[in-house]
Amino acid sequence: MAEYPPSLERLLHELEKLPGIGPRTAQRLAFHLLKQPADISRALAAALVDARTKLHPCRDCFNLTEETLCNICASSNRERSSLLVVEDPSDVVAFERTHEYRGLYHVLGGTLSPLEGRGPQDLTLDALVERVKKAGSFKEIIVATDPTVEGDSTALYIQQLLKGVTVKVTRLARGLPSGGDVEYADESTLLKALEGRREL
Amino acid sequence: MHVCSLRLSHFRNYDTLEVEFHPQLNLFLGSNAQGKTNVLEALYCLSTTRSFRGSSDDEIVQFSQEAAAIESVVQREEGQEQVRLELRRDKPKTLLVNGKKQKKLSSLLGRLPAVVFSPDDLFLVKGGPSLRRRYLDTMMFQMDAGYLAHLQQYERALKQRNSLLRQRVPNLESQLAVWDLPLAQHGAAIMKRRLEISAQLSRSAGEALRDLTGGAEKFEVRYEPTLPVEGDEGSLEKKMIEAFTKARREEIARGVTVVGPHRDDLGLWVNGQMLRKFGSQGQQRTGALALKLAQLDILAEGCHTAPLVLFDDVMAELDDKRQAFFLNRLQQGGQAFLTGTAPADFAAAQAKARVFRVEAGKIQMTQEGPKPVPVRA
Repeated sequence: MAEYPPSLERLLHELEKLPGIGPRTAQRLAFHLLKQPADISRALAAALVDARTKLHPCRDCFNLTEETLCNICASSNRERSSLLVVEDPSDVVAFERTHEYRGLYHVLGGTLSPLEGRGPQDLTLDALVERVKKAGSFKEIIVATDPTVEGDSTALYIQQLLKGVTVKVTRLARGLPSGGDVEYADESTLLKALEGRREL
Repeated sequence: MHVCSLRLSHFRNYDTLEVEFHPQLNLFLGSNAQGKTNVLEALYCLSTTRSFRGSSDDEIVQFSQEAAAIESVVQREEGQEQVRLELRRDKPKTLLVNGKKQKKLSSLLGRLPAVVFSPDDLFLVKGGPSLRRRYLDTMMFQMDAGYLAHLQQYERALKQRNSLLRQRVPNLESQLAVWDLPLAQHGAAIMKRRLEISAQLSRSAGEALRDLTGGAEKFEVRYEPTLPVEGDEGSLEKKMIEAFTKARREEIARGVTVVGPHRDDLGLWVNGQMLRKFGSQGQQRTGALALKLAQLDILAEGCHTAPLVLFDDVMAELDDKRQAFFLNRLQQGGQAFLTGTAPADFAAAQAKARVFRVEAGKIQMTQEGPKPVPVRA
């Protein structure tokens, strides 16, 4: 079987390192790019380098930003009494889309997961505690990690860390998705929804 | 409820297979390694989403093929339902019901309960505790979807905790504590349910053994957890956390979690003696049969329908009296699928069954069987 030229091999190799991309997809992407005008590849490469050099974690919340502070932390319109703790920057975007939450965020960078070798020191937990203590303005810390075993354990760890600090720590409610069908919900979701029921 | 038909493609030694079943008794005859058990395995996959031989999808998909499919038409009281399960190498299975893709495989559980009788059942008595836990678990999650959810989360938390126990980290105690809680929560739920089912099992298996032995022996199934299961789930949870704290030093030294339902066992006792140690081979075999019969009873009650009975190569092991007993049982309800090599072993059953000849991945019906007698659904 004929081999690919070295530069193509290298491109495939780099693409395959990306999550969700196997050899077949890598091939498709590479050939697609090569069929397009060179400008398209140049723009992609420039965008990659640009994003990588300009973006870094926000000093306070660890969301991605090009400045020292992200625009949420820098904004004077945000309430400084509540802090929403999330796993990843994409979770911040999800909450922002609701246009409902007006407080600040804190991005952990994942959950605790000994299986993947991720301990407290690999998350922004120390910074979180320090931030809450230093600011003194937070009345409520809302932990919004995923409703998984790992997300729950991380929430519990945060609660432990903040034990000595006089602040309310809450966890997002879990239950039925809106627009969903009670009949098709799995049992653990139904149970959680039942536990978290509210008076009408 | 019964399975009307089965279609297989690229499943084990079947390129393609189409077969229509008798609503009551189906008999598959043929030499060894022709594909008799594969039919039972396919039916069991439709029941529990997995193989009873502990095989991975990779082993089930035919050599040189990418995917296998099991499709069947099931007759229920409310009408016919088409169920299709697709298995792939290195990829999760997909489930389609009436052509519609289902989000969760587990939605299949309990819809088509099944019990396998096989020569390996002897290991239920003679083998290690993990086999008895699996026996309990497969029975439980066909009846109780909540149990499966607890079990999956428990196992996830256990893996994380064990991994942490083997790491040399500075503040191990406080990190362990956050895994203790989910382990205790799900663990308590599992242990509570296992205790209940064990009591039911003891009664049911006791009756089955009396039927099998003519009332000569007293059979007892005892739930043997790592800590006493008393009080409500909340207090059990607290007790588990206490037990973790107590065992901390041992756990750190050994690098494994030593308390919890992953260490449970079922004690099997006949006339006050431990069956595994003091039972004769014959007694052990009878004990295993009684456990399976109990599973049949409990599933029938818990799933509100008679389970499929998959009888893999067991008839030959039974004496005439027991064969007659089983035949009688099989006719009381539920669709049955029997495999064997010698037609002589099925003298009594043959007249009442649809008979298939299995040879080298091909199945041929050799006898249509009697017109079905109406039984309770």
